[in-house]
Amino acid sequence: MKCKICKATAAVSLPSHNTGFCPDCFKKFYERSVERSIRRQKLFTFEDKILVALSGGKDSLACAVVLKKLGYNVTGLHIDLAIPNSSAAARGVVERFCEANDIPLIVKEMEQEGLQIPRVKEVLSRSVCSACGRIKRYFFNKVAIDEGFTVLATGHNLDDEIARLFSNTLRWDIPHLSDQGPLLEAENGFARKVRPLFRLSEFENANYAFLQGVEYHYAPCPFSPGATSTAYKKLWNQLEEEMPGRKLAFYTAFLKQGREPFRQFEKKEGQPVAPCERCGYPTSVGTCGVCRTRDAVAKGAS
Amino acid sequence: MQEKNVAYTRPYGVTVTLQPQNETQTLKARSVRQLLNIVKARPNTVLVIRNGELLTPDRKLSHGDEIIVRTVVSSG
Repeated sequence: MKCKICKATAAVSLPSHNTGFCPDCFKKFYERSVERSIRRQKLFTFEDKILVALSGGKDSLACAVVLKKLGYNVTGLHIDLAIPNSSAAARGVVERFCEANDIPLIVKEMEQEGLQIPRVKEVLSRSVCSACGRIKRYFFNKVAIDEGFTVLATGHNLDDEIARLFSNTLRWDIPHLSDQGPLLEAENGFARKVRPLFRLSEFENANYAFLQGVEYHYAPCPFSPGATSTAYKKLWNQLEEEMPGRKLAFYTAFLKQGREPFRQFEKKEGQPVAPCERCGYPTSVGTCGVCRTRDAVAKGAS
Repeated sequence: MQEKNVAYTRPYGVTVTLQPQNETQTLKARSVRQLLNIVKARPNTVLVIRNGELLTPDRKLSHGDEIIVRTVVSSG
C-alpha cells in the first residue's frame, strides 16, 4: 500500500477513509484533523489556559502532545488512583512524558484524599469502574476550577464516544444523551470540557503516539475486566470492519440531528443541579457521589 | 548444509510478541494480514511493529522477522 499523498510505502492503513499514509503524511493528516475539530466545534483558542487530563494511555498523551505541537497553552493533570501493579507505572509514564515535552504537571493522589481505588472497590457492591470514573471527573473539574484553567481537555476518542453513545441509547438515558458531545460549556460549577480527539479512533491515536515516539502505558487496568464499554467497543469494531466509516457517521449524525431533542427535553424535565451540601461540587442529589463514596470508605476502615 | 544449520537458529517462521499480554510465539505467516488472522486480531485494533516500523496489513513478512502486535483497544 502506498501513501495517498507522497506515494511512499504506507505505515498506516485507514479503511474508514479508504486510504493509507506514510509516517510523515499521517502525522500531518492527524494534526489537521485535530485542528479542524477545534475550529469547527469552537472548542478553545490560543488564549485559553488548558488543563489536559493525563492517564498515561495513548489517547491522553496523544492529546497533550498534539495540542502542545499546535501551539496551545497546556498543563497536565494526573490522578494517581493507588491501584497496585498499575498506578505507579502509569504515573511514571506521565511524569517522563511531561518532562520530555516541557509540559507542567499537577498530580492528585487518591490515597491522600481517602479515595484509593482498591478501598473503593472493597466497599462497593457494584462495578468499581463507574465510581472510579466519577472520582476522576470530580478531581478534573475541581483542579480546573480551583487552579483557574479556562478549559478541561480529555483524550476521549471516537471509540469512547461511540461506546458511550451506544450505551446511553440502549438505555434511552435522556440526561446523558442530552449532554454528550465534544464540548460542554462551563455552567453550574462545572468547568468548560472539551474532547479534541472525538473524530479520531483509538487506532489513529495509537499510531500518532507511536510515530511521535511517545512511550505510553498500555497495560489494562487490573480492575477493568468485564467493563461494559469493552463489550460495546468489540461490537462496534466488528461493524466498522464490515462497514468502514460507520462509527464516525453514527456519531456525527447524532451531533447534528439526534442530540438537540434530548437537550430540549432535559431543559424542561431535567433535575436541577445545586452545590453538594458537603463539598460544593455540582450535584442533583444533595450530597454528591464522591462525598458518599468517601464516607463509605471511611466507614469501611473504622 | 552446515551453513543452513548456522542460519536457522530459531524454528522456521515469524516471532510474534502479543502486547499487553507479552506472550511470544513463532508462527508461519507470509503477510501481516495472514499473521493477524492467525492471532485473531482485527487490523484496525492493533499496531503491527517490525524493527520500530509500523506495518499495514498488505506488507510481506520474512523468516526471522520479529513482530510486535500491540492492541490499541483500551478497556474500562
